[in-house]
Amino acid sequence: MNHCLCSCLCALILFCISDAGLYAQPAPHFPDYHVQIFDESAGIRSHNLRRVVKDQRGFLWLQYPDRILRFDGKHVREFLLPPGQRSILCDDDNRIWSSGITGVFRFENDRKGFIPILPDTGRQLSIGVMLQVTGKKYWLETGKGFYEWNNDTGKFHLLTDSSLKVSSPIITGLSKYSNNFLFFAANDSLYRYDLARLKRNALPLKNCNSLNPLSGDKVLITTWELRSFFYDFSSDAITAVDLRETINRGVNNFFVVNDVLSLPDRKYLVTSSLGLIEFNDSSQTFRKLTLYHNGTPIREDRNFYGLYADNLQNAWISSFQGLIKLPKKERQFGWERNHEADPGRSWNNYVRNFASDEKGNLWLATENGIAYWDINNGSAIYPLFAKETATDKMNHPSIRGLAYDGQHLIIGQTDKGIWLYHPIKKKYSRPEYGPGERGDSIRKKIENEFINQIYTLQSGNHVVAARDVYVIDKQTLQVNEIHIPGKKGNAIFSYQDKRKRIWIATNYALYCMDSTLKFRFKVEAPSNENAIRTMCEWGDELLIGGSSLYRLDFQARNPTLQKLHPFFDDKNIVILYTDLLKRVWLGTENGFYCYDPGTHQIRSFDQQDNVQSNSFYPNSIYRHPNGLLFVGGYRGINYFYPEKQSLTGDHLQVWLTNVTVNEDDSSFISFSKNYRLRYFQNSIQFDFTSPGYSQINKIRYRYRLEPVDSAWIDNGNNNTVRFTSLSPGRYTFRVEASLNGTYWQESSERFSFTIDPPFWRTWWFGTLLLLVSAYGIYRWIGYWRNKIRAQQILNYFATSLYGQNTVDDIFWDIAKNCVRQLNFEDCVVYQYDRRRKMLVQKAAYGPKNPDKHEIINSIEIPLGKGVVGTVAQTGIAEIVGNTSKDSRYIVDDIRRHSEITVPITVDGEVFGVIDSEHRLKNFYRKYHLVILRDIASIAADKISKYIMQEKLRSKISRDLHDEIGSALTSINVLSKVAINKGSHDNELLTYLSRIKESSSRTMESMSDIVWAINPKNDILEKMMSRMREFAADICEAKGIDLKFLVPSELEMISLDLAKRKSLFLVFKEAVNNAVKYSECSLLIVEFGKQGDNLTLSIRDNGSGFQTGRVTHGNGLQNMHERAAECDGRLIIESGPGLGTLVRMEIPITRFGAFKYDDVG
Amino acid sequence: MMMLANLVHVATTIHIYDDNTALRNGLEELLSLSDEFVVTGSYENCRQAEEEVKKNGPDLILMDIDMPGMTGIEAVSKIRAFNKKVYIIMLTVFDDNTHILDAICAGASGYLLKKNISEKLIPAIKDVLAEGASLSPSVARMVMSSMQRSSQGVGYNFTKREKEILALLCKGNSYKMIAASLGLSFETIRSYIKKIYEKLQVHSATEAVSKAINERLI
Repeated sequence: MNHCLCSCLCALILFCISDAGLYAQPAPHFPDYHVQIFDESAGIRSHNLRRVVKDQRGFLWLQYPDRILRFDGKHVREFLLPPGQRSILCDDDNRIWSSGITGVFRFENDRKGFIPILPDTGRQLSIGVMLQVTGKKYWLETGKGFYEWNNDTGKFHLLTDSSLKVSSPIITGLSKYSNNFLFFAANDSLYRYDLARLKRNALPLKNCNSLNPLSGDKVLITTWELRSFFYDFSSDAITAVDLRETINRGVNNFFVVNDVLSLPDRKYLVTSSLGLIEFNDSSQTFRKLTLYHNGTPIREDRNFYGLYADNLQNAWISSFQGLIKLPKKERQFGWERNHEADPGRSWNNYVRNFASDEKGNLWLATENGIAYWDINNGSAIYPLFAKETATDKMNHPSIRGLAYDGQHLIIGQTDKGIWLYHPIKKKYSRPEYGPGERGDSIRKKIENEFINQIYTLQSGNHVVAARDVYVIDKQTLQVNEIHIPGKKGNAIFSYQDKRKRIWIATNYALYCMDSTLKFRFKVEAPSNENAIRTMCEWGDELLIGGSSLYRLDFQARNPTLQKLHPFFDDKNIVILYTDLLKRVWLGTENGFYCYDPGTHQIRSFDQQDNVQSNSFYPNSIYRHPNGLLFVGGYRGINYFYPEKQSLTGDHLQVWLTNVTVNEDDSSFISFSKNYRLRYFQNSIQFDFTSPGYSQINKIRYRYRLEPVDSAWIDNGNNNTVRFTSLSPGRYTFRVEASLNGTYWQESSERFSFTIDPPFWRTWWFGTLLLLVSAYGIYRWIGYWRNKIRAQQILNYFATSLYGQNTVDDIFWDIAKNCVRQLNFEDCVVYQYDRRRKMLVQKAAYGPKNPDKHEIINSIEIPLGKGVVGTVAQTGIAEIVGNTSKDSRYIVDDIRRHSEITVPITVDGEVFGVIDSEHRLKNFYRKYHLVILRDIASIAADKISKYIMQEKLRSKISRDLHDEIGSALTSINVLSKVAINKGSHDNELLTYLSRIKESSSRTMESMSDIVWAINPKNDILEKMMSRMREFAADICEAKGIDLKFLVPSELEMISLDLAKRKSLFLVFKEAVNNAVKYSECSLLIVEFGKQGDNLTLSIRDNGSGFQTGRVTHGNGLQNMHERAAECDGRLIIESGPGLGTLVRMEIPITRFGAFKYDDVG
Repeated sequence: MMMLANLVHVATTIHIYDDNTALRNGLEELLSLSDEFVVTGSYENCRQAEEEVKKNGPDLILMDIDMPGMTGIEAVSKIRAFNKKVYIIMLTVFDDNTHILDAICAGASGYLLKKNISEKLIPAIKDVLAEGASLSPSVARMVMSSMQRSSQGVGYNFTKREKEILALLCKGNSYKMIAASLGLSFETIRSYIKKIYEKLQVHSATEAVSKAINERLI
């Protein structure tokens, strides 16, 4: 190594420990960096890794030309991007930006990944790097100029400062910012733009390949000729970099700089075509650096690219080896191990003890001889091997005891005794054993014993811990045995405290001697083997290590061992050391720890911290005056500054990274305050992580879902937790991370969310349900009550209608019952006159006709007119809630405000209409309609049946009449023909006349019967017409004067069939009798009304007769019987010469008539 | 044949249509009692009435209203389609048969109730031959209601007096009683009745034409 490099190296080392300030001596030379590498084994793709940036949460974002990886030390998430990505940036708002030829992308969230953000121009831009300049501004370099990000518009806007304008395109991907200056290449120039003064100056530059400012003045430029230059704007000097003398060793002068990272003291870390180089601007020197990984140098360092310094002063190199972490130098764990191929130079990695010489270099006791580590002159370690057969030198390879007294190295072999070695003279000798037989026996004895340790006391004498214990006098180098009382056991180590007490441990006990090695007392060891292996002082306390960590307790009469922390049970502690910060370092057979007995904090160090292995050799420890602590183990030596190590490790942060609902990607949640979830979104997974790169496997998590979990739930190192079937409610998820299980760091954000109950479990729904049920029950009861009532009413109607035999009776009954049973104010029933297309009022109850069976003003309504006419036309029942809003409404006597109209449909055709009106609006309800429809239906059935009956009756009688009538006519005609044929047999003529008369009478009677039963002839008017016709016919033939008197008021009364028939037959009989037998000249027929009775009197002025005598067959008797049949009364008043009066009284069935013209 | 022709010349030739054979025979016998009438055709149905009437050209037809196959009313319209002259007297059992009015409208000259046939056949024929017409109260009533029904449409154009007579008829008054109550002669009443007949027939003819136009028969 040349001088220049050495001096620069020294300076570097000086810097590295300068702020330790604890030790005056310079640090030994040791490898430049002990690094950690994250590569495929950590899930990271190493190929083409170009840049890395750490965000504010501690995640690393690794940029490749075509993708970005997010890395938290353990987990990787990949986001693909278009190829050509050139720069990556984490802005002050913790947003990650990536820029490349095709555009700018910004990270949105885990699901969407990176989304493109385009400048405000439609032009196709060649996009280069995005960088942060002063004042939290973000500039984007493009071939056309610089754009600035505007957070308000969410766009990039072109910067129009003329000092930024260039005539030829800016070479993209090169702009860099340093000390208020922006450097960029264009126009065959290197421009320096002063952001404060908005000015620029330029130096000539062609073919720029890379541009890396070292300061505001100085830029390291590499051209496409693969040469590098310093451009100095303070002196406008351009200086070529020539490494042929130093690093490149004259091969050529190619030197391509990839990236530069500023270190303190005007030093720079440079990744280049010549590997990792440190440039010292003060001395203008370049020095090649070697990185050590697992104690082994990394040889291939030419594809190191982006450099990045994080907030913890760790440097990160993006390389094809993976992501390389260079820890802050003073905090790193050095690891020296043998990696020599040459067996002659290959020292043994089992390092059991150290001894330092006056130069500060170290002697190592190993399993294969000893070795000399010239730490001041490089990392080379020179081994000295034993020769088994030798008698004049080290003759056993396994060495445990080692001490240096300023002249000799005292070597305690595990067999064959002790050697003294003079390093300068390189000569071996044996110590003195005293004269005579006693000395001889000690020598023989010690040469058969297993020497564990040689410990140099404050006096300078050395204590040898073997099967027995010996002391070597510093002057005479004579070995004497020390008597240890009690049970014999192998001595393990000795230790002298600051109170000069000397402690010697055996398998069974710890002995306390005074400084003259006089036995004072002993402390029994715990019963198991390896109970006591090492000890140290902690303040005024004495700590004992072995099967666990103990404190020596002097409270009792006999001092005892008190366990300090259960964590160390069965760790088999073999090294104890208290540093200046009163923290205890523990080397064990199960790892390496730092423990603060005051706070009970424990930190473990392992392979990721560069600890050589989990196993250490007992008491193989040396605190160098320069501050480094060396510890020996099975795979070499670790060395570090104990006071520089943090007990808590890196500041731990834990973040919720993802919340997934129902394993459904679509319900991925980006964080916001109090999320609301639906009731079925009750399976929730939380992903959280604590980004960390040094104690990755030691991170433990615990979580707590409030209010479900009353305490923290340990989740181990698992960073996912899933909850299923959560009940509705409000929850808060909290997570904490810890490295040591003692100190827990909670995530800065808690995740609160609410699972809404399903609507059927909400209070309002319950209430609503209750109300609805109550209402439903109310309605149900009401419904049944109405239904029962309706049924009762219907039954009433049906029963009432049962007694009604004519349509009129039916109508009247309906009208009456509607008012009485349904509480209607009125009810009118219309019959439809099909021929005239008219609705004729047939029955009415209420104001229009308060009580009598009589229509006062019979209303006729044309079909289609008014509500009644409409209903008759459509056949659809209607309720008019407000008649004033219905233009069809016809005001009768006064306006009534609601109306119900229901058709009576007989055999599919509208027969009539039931109509009711009420003075109140909306009086009629649906149930009125229903019940009225039912009533109409019952009435229709009744009417239908009635009409059928009538039709049938009529048809039978007419058919009968037609047949028999024709036959009788024939008889009548034939008998007349026979008479006229001029037979002179009087007897025969008499018979023939009788036949003729009889047939004629029979026909007449039959005709009358048929006429009478025809309902069309129901009204008296018709009957009277017939009576008049009959009387006129018969009287005119005999020349009798006829007076037929009918008061007009009688024309509209009705008689039922039986009465009609009786009346007619009585009338006929009486008239016949009068005409045929009374020889009268005048016949007076007179109708009249007496109360509710109809009266008929037939009076003649004929001969009269004796009423007691029956002369004309049973004619009179018949008349009486017929009158009685219909509750009538017959009076016959006559006497010889007095004429005859036949008077009949029968009850009137009903006032008002029904025209049957349209029926049938 | 000649003799028959002579007879025809002096006597009224009559066709009888009635499905009741006994009655038909009785009527033939009854009419044969008088020299004034000759029954030139007697048929139990009127399906061939058109041809039979064309062939024999009777002076008078006695037509039963209710016959199976074709009703007397249809036969009347068919006959009236080509012969306005022949007298047609409808025979019916019922005087309230609405078919009577239909038959009158179709062109019947009068009608006769079967129950009165033995006494009234000859007077009725003679009455008809003397251009008289009978109108019983029940038929008058039908005319009245028919008149009311068509009041919105084409009326029969009855005069006030005609209506008056009809109203009186409806009440069962005889021609004589009407004549007495109106202070008119019996013959005047008869001619009014005849007029009523004509108006009914004219009206029904126009009605039939308009109906035919409506149904695109013409």
